[in-house]
Amino acid sequence: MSSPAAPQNNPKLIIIDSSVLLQLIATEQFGVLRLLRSDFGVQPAIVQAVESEVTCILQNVPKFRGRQDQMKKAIGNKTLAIVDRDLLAPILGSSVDAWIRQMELEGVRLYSTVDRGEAFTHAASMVLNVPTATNDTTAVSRLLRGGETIPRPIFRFWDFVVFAHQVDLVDAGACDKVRQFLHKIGERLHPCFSNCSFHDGLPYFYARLACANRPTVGASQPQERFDDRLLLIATRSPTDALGEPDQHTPRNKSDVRAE
Amino acid sequence: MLKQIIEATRLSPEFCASLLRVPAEQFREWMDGKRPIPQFVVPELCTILGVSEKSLLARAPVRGTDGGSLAPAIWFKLRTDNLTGADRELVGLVRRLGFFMAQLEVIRGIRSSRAWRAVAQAVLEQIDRSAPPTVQGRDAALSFRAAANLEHGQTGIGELIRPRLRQIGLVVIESPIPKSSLEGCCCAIGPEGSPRPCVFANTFKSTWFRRNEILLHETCHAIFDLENDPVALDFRDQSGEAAALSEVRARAFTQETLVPRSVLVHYTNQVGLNWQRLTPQQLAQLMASIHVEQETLLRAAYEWNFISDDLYSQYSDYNCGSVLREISFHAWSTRDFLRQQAGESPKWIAENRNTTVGARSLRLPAGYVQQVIDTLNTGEISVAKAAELLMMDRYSFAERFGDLVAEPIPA
Repeated sequence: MSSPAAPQNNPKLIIIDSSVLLQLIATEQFGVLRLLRSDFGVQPAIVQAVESEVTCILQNVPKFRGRQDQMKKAIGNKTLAIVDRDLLAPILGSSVDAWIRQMELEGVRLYSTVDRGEAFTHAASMVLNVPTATNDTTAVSRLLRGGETIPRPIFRFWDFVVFAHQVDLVDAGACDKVRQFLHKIGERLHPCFSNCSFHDGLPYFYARLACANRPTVGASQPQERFDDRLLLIATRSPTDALGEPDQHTPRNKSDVRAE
Repeated sequence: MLKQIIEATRLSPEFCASLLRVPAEQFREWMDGKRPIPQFVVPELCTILGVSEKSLLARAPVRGTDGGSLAPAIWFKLRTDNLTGADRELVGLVRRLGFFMAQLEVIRGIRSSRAWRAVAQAVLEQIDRSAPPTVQGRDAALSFRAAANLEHGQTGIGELIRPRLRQIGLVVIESPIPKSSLEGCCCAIGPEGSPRPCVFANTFKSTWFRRNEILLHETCHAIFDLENDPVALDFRDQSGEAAALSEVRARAFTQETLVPRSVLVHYTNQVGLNWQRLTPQQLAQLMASIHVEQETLLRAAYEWNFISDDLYSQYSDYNCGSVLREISFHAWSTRDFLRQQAGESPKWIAENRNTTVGARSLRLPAGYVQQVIDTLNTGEISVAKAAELLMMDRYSFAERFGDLVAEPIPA
C-alpha cells in the first residue's frame, strides 16, 4: 500500500505487456503514451517478445485483426519503443550489453512460470527497476509468490485512461466510450467500470499513475492489492492543461534505477 | 545456420513462424541474418529443431555439404518422400508440445523421464539380443507387462494402455493427420537435458483397437531403437520394412503384450469357448473383451495352437464389424465416440482439446489439459502461461476454459 514520500524524478521507462498494449491499440489510446513521452519524459516501451506476440494477435485474433498499422506507426514514431540496445545505450552507457544479457537470462528463468511476453517484460522491469503495465494479476501474484521483486507501482490499462482524463487529454465521455468499446469486444473490464459508467466508477478507482501538476481524480485511498501511486511531474512546459504541481498531493516512493 | 537448418528439415518458414508464435516476416529476417535471433525464442527453437543453442546461433555457414546433411538427427529421417508436409508439421507440433510438457513437469516437480528409463532398463536387462526378433519381442512383452503393471487379472488391457504408458513417462498422442500414410511414430521430445519418448498414433480412419496395437508397437521402438535412431516411422503400407528386425520384434511385442496365452486361456474358460466352432458373434465378443483387432487375435490363437491353419483362414473371413459396434463403444468412430462423451464428460474433453498452428491441428491429451488447469488453479502459473502451455492464445483459452478457472481471467 502507498505511503507519502518525498517527490522523486519520473521513471525513464514504463514497460508495457501485451494485455495492456492490446487494449491501448484496440481503443486507440496512443495519445496518452505520446503525452507521457513528450511532457513527462517517460518512454513507454515493450520487449521484443511482446512485439512478436502482439503482432501475431493483431494478425490472427478476430477482434483485434486489422490494427497492425497502429502498432507499426507507434513504433515508427517512437511513441512506443522496443527495449533494445538502441533504447538503452543512452540510458545505461557502455555497460548496456551486460544489462541486456542480464535481462535475457532473467527472462529465460521467469519463462518457466509465466508466459513468454510476461517473462521478458517483468525481467526487463526487474533488471532496470522501472515500472510495468499489465492487466494480468495472476502473473504478478505468481512471480511474487516465487520471491521475485517486482518494481511498483504496476499499472493497468485503466491507469493510462484515468491519467489521460486527469490531464484533460480525454473527457469523461470519451473514457466511457473506451469502456463501452472494450465491453463490446468482450474484454474484461476493471471491476470499477464493469457495471457502471466511467463517471460513476471513477470515485472507486485508485489511480496508480497520476500527474503531480493536477488535482488527483478517483479514489483517494488504495482500494486493492498492488495499489501504489506514482506521481509524475511535467518535465517541459506542457500543454495548457498542465499547471503547477498540486501542493496538496503527496508523492510516493518510486525507486527507478534507470534515472 | 537457421536458414540452412530450416531448409534441411523441409519445414516451411511460415509454419515455423506460426509454431513459434512470431510474425512470418520476423522469422524470415532471422533466417536471412538481417536480425539476430532473440533469446526469447532460442530455448523453444532448439527443442523443436533438436539442435544445440551453439549450432542454432552459429554464424558461419557450412560449406561443401548438401542440404540433407545439415538436418538435425531427428529431422534427417523425416525428410523422406514417404512423408507429407503435414506429417512433418505434425512432428513439429508434437515436439513443441514436448517442450511445454517438460516445462509443466518442472513446475510441478515431476521427472517422468526417470520413470521411463527405469522401465526401459528393466525390460532390456531381460533380453538376449542374439535371440530371434520374435523371441526378443515376446520376452520384452512379458517384462513390460510386469514393469508397467499391466498383468493383473488376465483380461484385456486396452483401457489401461494409455494411462499406464503416461504413468511411466511416455508422452502418448493420438491425433488425426488426414491424407497421410503415417500410422504411428516414435521420437524423443523435450529439451536436451531431459528427453522423453513420445508415441504417436494417427487417428484418421483408424479404430481404437488398431491404435492399441500402434501405441504398443511404437513403445517397443522406444524401448529398443530410440537410443540409436531418433525417430521410428510406421506407415499403413509398410511392405518394404516389414522384414526388418526391429519391425518383427515390435510386432511380436505388441501381440504378446495384448494377447498373451494366459489371456486366451482365461476367456476360453470363462465363457466355455469352443475354438473349433467359433461364431462371428463370439469372435466379436472376444475382440471387445481383449481389446484387439481380429487379425491380431486370430494370429495369437493360431500361434498358441488354439486353432488350425484352416480355422485361421475361415475365421479371418468373418465380418465382425457390425456386431462389434453393437457391443463395444470402442468400435465407434472417433467422431461418434466424442459426441457421446460430450453428454457425459466436461465439454472441453470432447470439443476443446484441439490446438491449431497454421493449417495443422493437434488433439492435446486430456490428462495434460487437466494438469495445466489444475496447475493454474493452484496458483503455480499465470493464466497466459496456461494458454501458452496449451498452445493457444489467451482469448481462445478464456473462451474454452474460463469456467474451469478459479480466479477470473484478466482482460
